[in-house]
Amino acid sequence: MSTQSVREMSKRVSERLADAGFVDAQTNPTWYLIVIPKVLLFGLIMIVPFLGAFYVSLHQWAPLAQTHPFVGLENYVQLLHDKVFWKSLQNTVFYAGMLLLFDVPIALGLALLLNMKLKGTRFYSAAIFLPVVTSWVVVSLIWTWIYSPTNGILNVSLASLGLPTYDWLGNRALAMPAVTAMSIWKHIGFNMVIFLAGLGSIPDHYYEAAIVDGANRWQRFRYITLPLLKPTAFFVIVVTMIFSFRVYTQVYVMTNGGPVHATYTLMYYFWEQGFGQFNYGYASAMAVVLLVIVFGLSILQQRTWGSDVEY
Amino acid sequence: MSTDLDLGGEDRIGTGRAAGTGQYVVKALAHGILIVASALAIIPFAYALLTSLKPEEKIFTTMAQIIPAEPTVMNYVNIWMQNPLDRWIFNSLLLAAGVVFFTLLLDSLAGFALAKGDFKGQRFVYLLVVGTLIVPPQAIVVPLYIEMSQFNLVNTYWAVMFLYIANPFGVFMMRQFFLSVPDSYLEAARMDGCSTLQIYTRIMLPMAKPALSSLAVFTFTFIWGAFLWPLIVLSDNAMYPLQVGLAGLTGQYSSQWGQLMAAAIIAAFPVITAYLLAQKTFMEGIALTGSKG
Repeated sequence: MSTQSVREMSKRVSERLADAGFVDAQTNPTWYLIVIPKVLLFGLIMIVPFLGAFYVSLHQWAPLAQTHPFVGLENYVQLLHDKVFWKSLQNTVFYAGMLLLFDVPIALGLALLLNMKLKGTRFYSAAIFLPVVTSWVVVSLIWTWIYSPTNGILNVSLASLGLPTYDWLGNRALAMPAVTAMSIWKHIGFNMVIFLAGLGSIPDHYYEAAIVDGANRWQRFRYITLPLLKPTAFFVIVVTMIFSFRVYTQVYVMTNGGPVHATYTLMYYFWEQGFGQFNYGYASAMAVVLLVIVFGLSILQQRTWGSDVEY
Repeated sequence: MSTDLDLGGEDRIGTGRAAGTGQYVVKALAHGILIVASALAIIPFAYALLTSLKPEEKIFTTMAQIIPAEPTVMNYVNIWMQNPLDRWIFNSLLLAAGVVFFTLLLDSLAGFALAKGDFKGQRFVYLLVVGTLIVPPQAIVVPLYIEMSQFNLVNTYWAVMFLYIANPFGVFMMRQFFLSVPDSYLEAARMDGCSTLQIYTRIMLPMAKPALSSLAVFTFTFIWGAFLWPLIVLSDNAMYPLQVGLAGLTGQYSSQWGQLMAAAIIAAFPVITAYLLAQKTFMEGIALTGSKG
């Protein structure tokens, strides 16, 4: 497209918009031309389906049915009485809780160690970050093999030490913790890098001034590092929770939700209802529950983290 | 980000004593912990690689022997011959190329307009970006699937790509970058008679190279690992990206761990190679998600 025709096109677009009273005729029309493609995509791919989720959740909706009868809140009421749903929610909350309890503090600890800028830091951070870049499907496959009941390296190692072995993914009490442990392993490097960026953004002159004032290491950590890292820590905690509610792929690959719903998560049950049972209405009700939880968490984040973000 | 005035890291962490043996103890302890953490991160990959090199019939009989006595690539050959791995890899690369291209183009344009533009509705568009940032894509896949079937796009590459191209993260990131470019550059260019589009192509894009490469790497990794949406919207085995195809192998190869591990290594290879070559860019991409702005 030549510059000339682009200019003409943008002029026409802006005239139309001005005629319709949307925009001020004085504005340079090019600005509209360059944001419109993305705005259209937001509208069609994010906003319409977003509203669609609420709409579908109020209907009994089978993909091939001719009509989709309105059922009001029936899907939601059914959710309240659905034991598998509660089990899925419970598992998801367990998953999020374990990540907060182990992933976040260990990631912070590793970031503090890496921030000491020891020799070999590049190697250490590269190694710890390796599971982050590898896909969930790949690491799930590898860990299914590690957890394998008779021949996986975990049980082989335990047996060689004379310790008891378990069917990690086949045991109802152990399956969810096993999936969670693997996820912590995979995810720690992500939080670590965010903490590391947070530590790096603390200006050095704060420490210099503190040294001049005679503050010792502990005091510098306690009164400079810790308070200044608070926003980063809060960000990490909320984002970890938000992502936890999306846990899905590792369950699909490692356990298929089993044994007997022991590893069902919100997203796994959603997928099973939506695209296994083709029960769109019921699945959408679950999606709306997920949306409400994630929005709640995001508001929490905006309150503290976003308070000085300019809009 | 950090002004690299080297204080000698341990000054910043606040443990141990300033001088003498205490410092060595702290350092040794730190090295010890980091070595253990690195080993824990790497061992599963090494174990998968070693398993993939063992002859299938010997995997169970040679459990105690971690390192294969006679390494073989038969597992790679077999899994590749029996499955359309090349087609899946092609699909993944095509999807990634498409998404990366459109993401860089549309997001740099929109980010530029949001950072430097002056138009009615700018604030609204920005709120749209921040608002959609929160929407978990997983929550909208049912209506999106219905929408895609209305447009007759189910089982097409476009259907897969649309969701990822619409991702608002890149706009947010590019806007943050363009905000850091001083207005005087634009004013000078305007004086010289540059149009807005020329400012974008001649001044903004060249300056944005580091941000664009971060976004490209980040997007590529994301698409390469994408799973749920392609699984839903694609129905044809030959259309699957590698991750979806791979996940489908678990059932049929449930006891052929050598071949499964070979497939896992094949799937991990491109991203790990790219990561080792451009480690800094990868980490910056992640760090950007946490940078306040």
